[in-house]
Amino acid sequence: MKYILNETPIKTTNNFRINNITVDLDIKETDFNDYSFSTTKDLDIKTEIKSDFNSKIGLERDKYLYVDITPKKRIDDLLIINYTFDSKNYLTSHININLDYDLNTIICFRGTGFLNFKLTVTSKENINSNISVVNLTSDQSTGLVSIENSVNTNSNIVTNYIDLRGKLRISNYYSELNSEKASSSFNTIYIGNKDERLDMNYYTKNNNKYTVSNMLFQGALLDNSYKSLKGTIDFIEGSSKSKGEENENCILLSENSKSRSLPMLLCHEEDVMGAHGMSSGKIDSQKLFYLMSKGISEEEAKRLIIKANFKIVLDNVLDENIKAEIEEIIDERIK
Amino acid sequence: MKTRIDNIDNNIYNIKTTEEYEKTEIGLTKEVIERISKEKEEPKWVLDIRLKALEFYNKLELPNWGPDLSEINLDDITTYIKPKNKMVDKWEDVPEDIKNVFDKLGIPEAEKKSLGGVGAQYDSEMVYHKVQDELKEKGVIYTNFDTAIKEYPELVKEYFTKAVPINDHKFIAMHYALFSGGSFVYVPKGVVLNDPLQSYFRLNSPGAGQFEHTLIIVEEGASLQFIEGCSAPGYNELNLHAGCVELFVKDNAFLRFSTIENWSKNMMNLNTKKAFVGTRGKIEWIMGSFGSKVSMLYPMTILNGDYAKCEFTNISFAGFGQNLDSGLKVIHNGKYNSTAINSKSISKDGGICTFRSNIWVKSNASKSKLNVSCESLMLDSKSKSDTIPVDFIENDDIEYAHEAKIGKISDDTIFYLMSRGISEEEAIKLIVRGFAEPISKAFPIEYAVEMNRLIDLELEGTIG
Repeated sequence: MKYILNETPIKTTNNFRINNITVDLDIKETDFNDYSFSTTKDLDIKTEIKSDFNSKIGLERDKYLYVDITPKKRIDDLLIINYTFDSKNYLTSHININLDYDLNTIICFRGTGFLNFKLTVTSKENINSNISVVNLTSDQSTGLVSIENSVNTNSNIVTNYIDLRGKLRISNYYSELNSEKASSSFNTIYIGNKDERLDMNYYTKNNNKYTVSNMLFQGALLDNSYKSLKGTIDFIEGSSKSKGEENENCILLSENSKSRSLPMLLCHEEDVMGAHGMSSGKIDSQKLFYLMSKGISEEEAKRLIIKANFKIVLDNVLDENIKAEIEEIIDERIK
Repeated sequence: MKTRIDNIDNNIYNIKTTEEYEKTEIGLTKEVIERISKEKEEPKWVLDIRLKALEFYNKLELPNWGPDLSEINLDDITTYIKPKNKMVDKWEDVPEDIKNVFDKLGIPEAEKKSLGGVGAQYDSEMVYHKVQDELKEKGVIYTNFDTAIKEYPELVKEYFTKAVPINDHKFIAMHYALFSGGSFVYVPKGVVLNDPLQSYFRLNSPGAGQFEHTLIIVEEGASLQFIEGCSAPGYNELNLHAGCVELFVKDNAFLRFSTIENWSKNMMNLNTKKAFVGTRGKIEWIMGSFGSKVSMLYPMTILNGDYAKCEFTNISFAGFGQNLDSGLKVIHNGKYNSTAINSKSISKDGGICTFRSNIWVKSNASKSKLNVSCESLMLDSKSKSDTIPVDFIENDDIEYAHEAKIGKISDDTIFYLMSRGISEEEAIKLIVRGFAEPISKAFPIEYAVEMNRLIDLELEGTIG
């Protein structure tokens, strides 16, 4: 069945087909007996099967696994949530985190299959939280990942999305900075290999005064891979003294890889500072020359430069084992 | 606390005259098109293009993005207006009323001082066209488009509709169905024009449309600077401008295409411009947009040869009731192509400025370089400023950098200037002129002065 997904907040010319993505998907019902779900902490996590799934990506489903996390006190240890499923699986799940207290979380996906995941995070005042969504599913997987957050006064939510494998990957980020001095950062790493197709639609809305939004996208495209990245910072009227910045760095490692970008800056407020920067193309030849002059092979030098770019994001992933797992996949993918 | 005083609209562009016309047509139908074509005594191949375009117009949908265009009702728009006189090449022969308007706009004076040729269009027809004898001797052709169809049919046939196809979008189909007037320029191989040519388009009638077609061919190694000026007096009825510019810049040739657009605030400006640039050729677009109620304008450049270059310099100023949606499209289709884009916008009093760019670096365009910079200045929070750039990169061996900034006038800077005895209003004007300076510098001096005057006029009454 054909679906039109990931619509941009504002439409632009149709020539480059960036306003949305049309995909042909054959989706089966989630088999709730055939995947594993585990957490490292007992946080009074409630799970139930619910219906009426929808996300900003635009794909609605009937039945899904709903997970509610509402910590009752400040949690110092990291919460790790693992999903593992196999090729028969079609998994639709929604994790809802209510941040009344600080909490750092990593959500990991492993296995092969069709993943349709949504994360919603709502913070109260004065919250600091770091959340990573790490998609480690195989290159035969399809992944639809939607992340939404709503940030309250004086709170800061850092979200990291690591998107390394999968033949079709559609992701969406929607952040609303609703109260004064709310801030959010969204950092992502993506790699495209073979014929993989990536569609990313990331949006931050500065809704109030003194809000700060940051988005950083670090990517590498190899072989025949193709990515379309839409990043929007929206300053609403009344968001005075707010700041917003988005930066993209996409390295093309093959002459057949293709990169589409739409870094939007929407502004309805006079007293704000908004900026976006984007660079695309091959690896900086001077950096490459420097490393090669130190006796490092071209291949290794390229890998080092890309990994250095990725490190800025990777350092936000708070578990060393998962970080090592990610690095191993990065090494394997940018050979 | 700022207080707002209504915009002062007493500038020279607002001169109104009451003309008597020889012929007018309303709406867009097969019959209207046939009558226009007959009036112009056109060959059949031109009428065929018009009728084909009408078919596309009826089939094509309005764009599903950008400003709202639903207000346009072609049944109410005067699609063809012919002034009583024929086109002439002496100012003395231009009818008094029309001459007065162009005199006040400074066109004859500019011609004497700094131009190699001048064309002046009043409503649907060119009323004056003149090129220096010296340029004529070198083989330069500068005439109105209708004359070119009759006198240089082979040349026109070779290039007309080849840059902008008749089915490109709904409004270009409308243009090809109704086109009238415009300029035709042919610069032969190796000929370098030191003085610019200028065409001035004036839309005088309330509720009218202007559909001029400009076709410029700059042959190998030739060089041309072309200036386009547009203005209209303000009326309550909606006016429509759907012009088309087709530019062919051959190998090693150079074209600077400058536009100062100051249409009245009741104008829907839906212009289409496209340029093909050959090996080592270069095009420079310089645009200043101040007028129009709604503007949708995205000049397109196709760099078709190796080492071809494009420079795009643009400033938009949107005030009360204005929605200026502009930008550019560039395709890199050769090796070592380079593009530099510098776009600035200023919005105030609820004005909306949108910058859109479409950049496509094709897989064969290795060693390409692109640099995109857009800056927006917001003078209040009723206004809007959006930056919507699309980049499509198909080659790994390129260098591409894109940056955009949105900001306000710093209170510290205003305070500093005021502490030096400058009034708040003058301080703002100084800062805005400074913001626009890199763009105004690109215009010939007379136009840079004119642009600064327009900025001052637009800022009149901002502070109270």
